[in-house]
Order: sequence, then structure tokens, then C-alpha cells
Amino acid sequence: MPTLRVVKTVAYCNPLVPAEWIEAHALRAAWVVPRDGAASAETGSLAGMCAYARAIVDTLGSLDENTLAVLTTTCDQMRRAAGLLAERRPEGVFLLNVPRTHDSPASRTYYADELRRLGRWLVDRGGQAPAAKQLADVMIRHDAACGAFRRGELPAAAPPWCNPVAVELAAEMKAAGDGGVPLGLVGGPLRRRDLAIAHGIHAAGGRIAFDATCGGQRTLADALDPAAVERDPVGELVRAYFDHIPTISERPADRLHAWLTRQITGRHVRGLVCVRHVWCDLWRAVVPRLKETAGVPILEIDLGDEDRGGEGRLAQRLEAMIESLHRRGP
Amino acid sequence: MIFRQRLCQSYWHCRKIVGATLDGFEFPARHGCTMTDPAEKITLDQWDDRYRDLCRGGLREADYGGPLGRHVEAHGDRRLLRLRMDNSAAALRLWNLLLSEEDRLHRARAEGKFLLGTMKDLGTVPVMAYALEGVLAFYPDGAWWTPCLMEHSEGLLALADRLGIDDSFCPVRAMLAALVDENHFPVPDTLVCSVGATCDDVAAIAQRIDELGFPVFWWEIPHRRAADSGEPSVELPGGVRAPVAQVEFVRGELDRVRRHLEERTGQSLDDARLAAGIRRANQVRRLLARLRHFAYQGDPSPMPALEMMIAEVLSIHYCSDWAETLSVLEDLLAEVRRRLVAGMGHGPAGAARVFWVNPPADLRAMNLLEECGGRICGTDYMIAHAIDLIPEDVPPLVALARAALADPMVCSTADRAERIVREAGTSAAEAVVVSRIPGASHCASESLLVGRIVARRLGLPVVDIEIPPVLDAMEPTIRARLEALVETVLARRNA
Repeated sequence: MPTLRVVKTVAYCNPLVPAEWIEAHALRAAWVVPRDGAASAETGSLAGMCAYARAIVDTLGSLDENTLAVLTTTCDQMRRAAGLLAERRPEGVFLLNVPRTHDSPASRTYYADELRRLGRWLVDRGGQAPAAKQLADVMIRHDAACGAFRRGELPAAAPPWCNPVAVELAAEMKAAGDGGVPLGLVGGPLRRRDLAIAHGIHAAGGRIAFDATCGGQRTLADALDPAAVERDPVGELVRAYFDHIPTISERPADRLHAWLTRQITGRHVRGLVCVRHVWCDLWRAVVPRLKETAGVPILEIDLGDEDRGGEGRLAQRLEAMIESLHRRGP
Repeated sequence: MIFRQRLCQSYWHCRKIVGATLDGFEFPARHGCTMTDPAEKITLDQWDDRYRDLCRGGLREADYGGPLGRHVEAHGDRRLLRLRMDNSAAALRLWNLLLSEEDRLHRARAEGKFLLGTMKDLGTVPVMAYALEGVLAFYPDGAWWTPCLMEHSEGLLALADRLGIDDSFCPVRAMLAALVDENHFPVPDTLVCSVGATCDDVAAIAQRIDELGFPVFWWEIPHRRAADSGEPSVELPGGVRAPVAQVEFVRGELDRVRRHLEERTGQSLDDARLAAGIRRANQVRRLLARLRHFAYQGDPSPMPALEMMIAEVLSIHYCSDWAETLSVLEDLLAEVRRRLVAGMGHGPAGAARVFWVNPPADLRAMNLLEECGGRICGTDYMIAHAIDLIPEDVPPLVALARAALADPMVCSTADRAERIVREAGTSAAEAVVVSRIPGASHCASESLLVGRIVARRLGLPVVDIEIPPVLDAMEPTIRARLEALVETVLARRNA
């Protein structure tokens, strides 16, 4: 394997940003989790801004100039967050255009072109354009780590391109074992403090049977085909990410619901916990359909951006849900 | 003699102010207006008397015409009782065109016409649809003003709540309820929605519409970005630029829309037809450009902000009647010219010149601005791309792709702000109002960025005002903010 001289970190927070592509450019890919704590004076004044997007702006805006940021157009709040961030760091932010529709081959071509554009942007900022072999090597290495995740075999030290909160959650899910009322966890990306939901579920006698939050099992890239990696690495990246990952932003949203249905049925879950950041329209609008189709009770949890408080209420709601599921029987 | 002298003075005053000739103008005798009719804003009750006067004066109306009061009685448009409307026959026709749309759509359905519901693109897909025979395109999104017009008596937002789309979404959620309850516009024969660089509200609500049994044909509009170094780019309507590759991508998406329309209507939508559709759109847009120029630059303001906003909105889908939209705009233009020549207008000359960003959820906001001593001198109601001329010297789908990419909502807020700066500067704006739409995903951060950029580039005061669908409970606050803005403008003049 060639030695890569890592000069800068590229921070991102969306599963449609392929870490392999960044690392193949001799840069360090890091899934950024927004810091906990109160919003800054600037973003705190923005009524109606998604709590997660607000926290991302604050976190990325305070990083040093050796950290580049890649945000995506997968939701309007994050698209506009990129604009806010670009005000602070005009040269340090890249907005990756991810098509919402998959009906036309032009959409996946567009995504592939966006990856190439991202590559040029990285090269302009200190990255190295990868040879095909170099890219393929990085992809195979990532795929091995990703495969372990897919099987639930957690590495002792997760690579930085993994969502660290999802890794922590996966570890907690594994430690909880197979006992308890099985629940599905569905929704947007979690912040570290949102792990209180997992703690609450486990404390109340439940267990998380699948993690469909952003960065969890749902959003892992598909296993790579080594022959395709050899033949057309960028094409294989597009397949593993754009063609495979069911997202909340895709229109129509059928793939997401099909994935959730498979998980609900296959893992025999008895309830869903749906989390969404306050002002996140996309996840908010998913709940009505889930209520019609999931066939199991659903608990909705809004994730606000208040510094603290609400832990007791959250625990009580989770306890009440799990208790009611206990009474219903399997 | 005195009147003729005044007319001449006014004429030269207008030439100076608006920088354009009024030569060749003929007063519109067919409307029952006379040269001396003053410009006034009147209540709905006063409109009853005014309507009778106009009829006595020989008013001739289109088949959707009639007294405005009937919209309250027949349709429950109670907000009209709280509005102050322009007293001209041209405004009467404008209001009647707007408020009769649902009736006209139902009639079109009964006549066997094909109804296309197009969502979010605000001005592009209707150009294609109206190039076909017997096809009407309208925006279900337009139902967002229904809770305002009916002052919530129609229950659309409450129904949207029950359908799972609560008030964390913008009032456009009314369209979901209107489709389900079928008490407003007829269910379209097909629904088309742009998605991508659009607001989350419509993306989420349209998905819910699809799930509830109203299949949506989706097409992609990407976030408009700046061309990279060495990348070919092209100028779009409105003076902005986009990479050629993005135009080509959108052309492909619009080609998918074209094929969908062909399949659903059984008609060919070839380039010749599309080109004719573009020419028709440009007829409307040219008229509207002239109207905006005279109305926003004339002093005193010859046409109220409220009627001008509705006139602008006609451009997106012609209020389901292209020919009538043309006539309405012609009448409004004639009235504005008549008033400019006569030196008449609303309010005193020298009112604070305000550039308004985003359409307000309550129409009454436009009245309030004028009651507080302001007037509109320029706008960005999120439909700038529906007002700009569509190129006629390139293949039609390329032209439409350029128009779609010129949408001020598909670029970054900073890019949108640049155009606002340019237009606020040329329209001699003295202040900017960013009207916040409750729950809208784009509104959270845009007032900060627009305000910052406008202040930096033009040094103008900017206020951010949230306008709910019925603003009555908030009126003291909104009024206070608008009054403070106007006072600031006047103080700056004297500084």
C-alpha cells in the first residue's frame, strides 16, 4: 500500500460524502460530530434553523484553517448552513450537490461529476490527485472496515471517517445483547448528547435492534465488488453510495421506506423511536407514513438545542413506551 | 386649462422619475374610469358603491367579473373585508381574475381540459404546459394564501395538522389539505414537482402528497453554483451565471418533463410549440416589466403594493388564463400611466422606498407597509426568474433550463442577496424588508445573510419581519417595526 502524506483534514457529516475519495487524495477524512453546548450568538439568533445544522455551523466555523469542510445539498437547512459557513471561511467549504432523484441516469452521472469536482477542489487545497490503483487500494481498505461494521464487528479504534456517535451507539447496542424489547431507532444524525436516548432505552428494558439514524447501519455504503473497483473505481463508488444508501432526501422516498420495512419485519422490532432535530422538515414528514405502514407503535422525540434539561422527561417517555409494549406482549 | 398645465407638469415629472416615455398612451375608455378618478385605497364596502359607479360609467367585464363582495359571500374570502384595495377598474379585474381561479379551474375540468398541477418551480413548467392545446397549469402551492384569504375558516391548516404536517412547516402545507379535501381546486390530472435545491417544506409535503395517492412526477433542479476556474459558464436571465454543465443537466430534466407531458396529454410538445410557449410567456413578462418599472419608480406610487404583488404573481402560471393575464396587465399598465400623467398616486410623494424580499403569508402586510408611510420600489417575491425574459435565441429547452436555474431560491442566499443589492440599488431603495415565512426552511438564515450583505454593500437598514397567514394578532408588533423602519429612512434623508 502506498504511503500517503496527510496534510489536512476534511470534515463532513453526511454519508454521501465518500471518505475513500477524500483519503485517496492524501487527506484525512473525518466525520464531524457537532460539539455539545449552547449555540453561538450568531446561530442562536436564527429562529427556525435546524438544531443540527446550527451546531454544525458553529463547530466547523471554529476549526482551524487546516480543516476543510464538505457539506451536501441533501437538505435545504444544510445547503444554507454551507452558505453561512462560507461567509466565515470562503475558501474552506465545499458544497457537494447530491441529486434527490434517481429516475434518470443523468442523476448518477451528476453525482459522479460532483465527486470529480470535489477531487479538483481538494487538489487545489493541498490534496493529490489519486491514480486509479491508489484509489482502488483505499477503497478496498475502507470496504474491509465497513464490512466489519455491517456485520456488527466493531474495531477497537474506529477510523475517523466513521460517525463516532454511531460507533458508540453500535458498541452500546452490542453490549446490550439480545434481551429487552427490540426497537428500531430512526431519524437524523445524532449528537453525542443524543446518546441519552440509547441509554434511556436500555435502562427502561428495551434494546435497539437497528440504527437507522444518519451515520448508522442504514447509511453504510454497499459492499464493493473488487472487479468493479479495479475496472472503474469512481463508478463503483457511485454505485456503493448513491445507488445503495436509502436517504431521507431522495424523491420519491420509496427506498427509505422499503429499507425500514425490511428492518422492522426482519428484526421483529416491536416499536420505533423516531428522532428529529427541531425544524427538520424531512424527518418530521416521514412519521405520518410510518404510522400508517410500520405496524408498530412509534414514539417521536424532538432533539432541541437547549444546553441541558429534558433528560428526565425523555427517560419517562421511553419507559412509558417500553412498559406499554411489555403489556401488549410479543 | 389648469388641468392641461398640471398634466404637462406631471408628464415631465414622470419622464424624469421613470426615465421612460409615456408617448402614445391612450386612456382606457372602456373601463368606465375617467381622467379625474383619484387613486384611492378603499374597503370592500366602498367597492360596492365604486362598482355601481363603474358600471354606470360603462364598465365592461370579462366573464369572471362582478362585484368583489361576492367572493366573501360565495367563497368565504373574508380577508377582503380587512384589506384596502385600489379603486381602479383595472384592480377590480385583477382581483376578480385572482379570486375566480378555482371556479375557472373547475369549469375547465368540466369542459374536459387537462389540468397540470406543478409545484415549486414557480414559472418554468407552466411555459411548457401552456404550449399545449387544452392544457391548464396551476400551482397547488398557491393554496398557501387560502388560509389568509379565508382567515382560517376553511380549516386547511387544521386538516394538514391531522395529515401529519403541522405548523413546523410553512403555510404551503395548505396545498396538501386542499388536495385531500377537494373543496378548493380540482385534483389535477398529473402533478409535477421540482426537487433538489428547493425548500424542505415543499420537498416533504409533496412527498406526503405522493404517499396519499396523488402520484408526483419529480424532476431535479440542482443548487446553482459558480463555475470553477476554466469551466465554461453562461449568462442566465437576470444577469446571473451558471456552468454550462448545469444548464445541460437541467435541460435533460426538462426534457423528461416534456416527455411526461406528451405521454399524459397525448400531444407532441416539439421545439416549435415550446418556442411559441416561450414567446407567449415573454409577452406577459415584457408587460409586467413595464408595469413594475412605472409602478415602482413613479412618485407618488401609482399602484398599491398589494395589487402590484398580485400582478407579479400572475407571471408564474398566468392565473390559469394566459389571455386574461395579458389583458389584466395591459389594464393595470394603462391605469398606472394614466395616474402618472395626472400626477396621482397613493399616499404623498416621497414615501420611504422599500425593497421587499419574500411574499408575505398575509396579503394585509402590503397594506400595512403603506399605512406606515412606506412604499414598494422593488421586490424579490421568490419569482424573479418568472419575471425575467426567457431567451428566444437558443433551443427552447436550453432557454427554459437557463430560466429555471435563474430561480433566486436555487442558489446560495449570498447569490440571491447580490441580485437584491443590484436591484435595490437601481431602484433607489432606502430600506429592505425581509419578510419571513413561518416555518420555511430558507427563512431561518436568509435574513441574516441578506441583511449583512445589503448593509455592507448599500448601507441600507434591513428589518426581518415574520408574517403569519393572518397577522392580526401580531399587527401591533409588525406595525411598530415597519414604522421604525420608515422613521429610520426619513431620519437618514435629513442626516
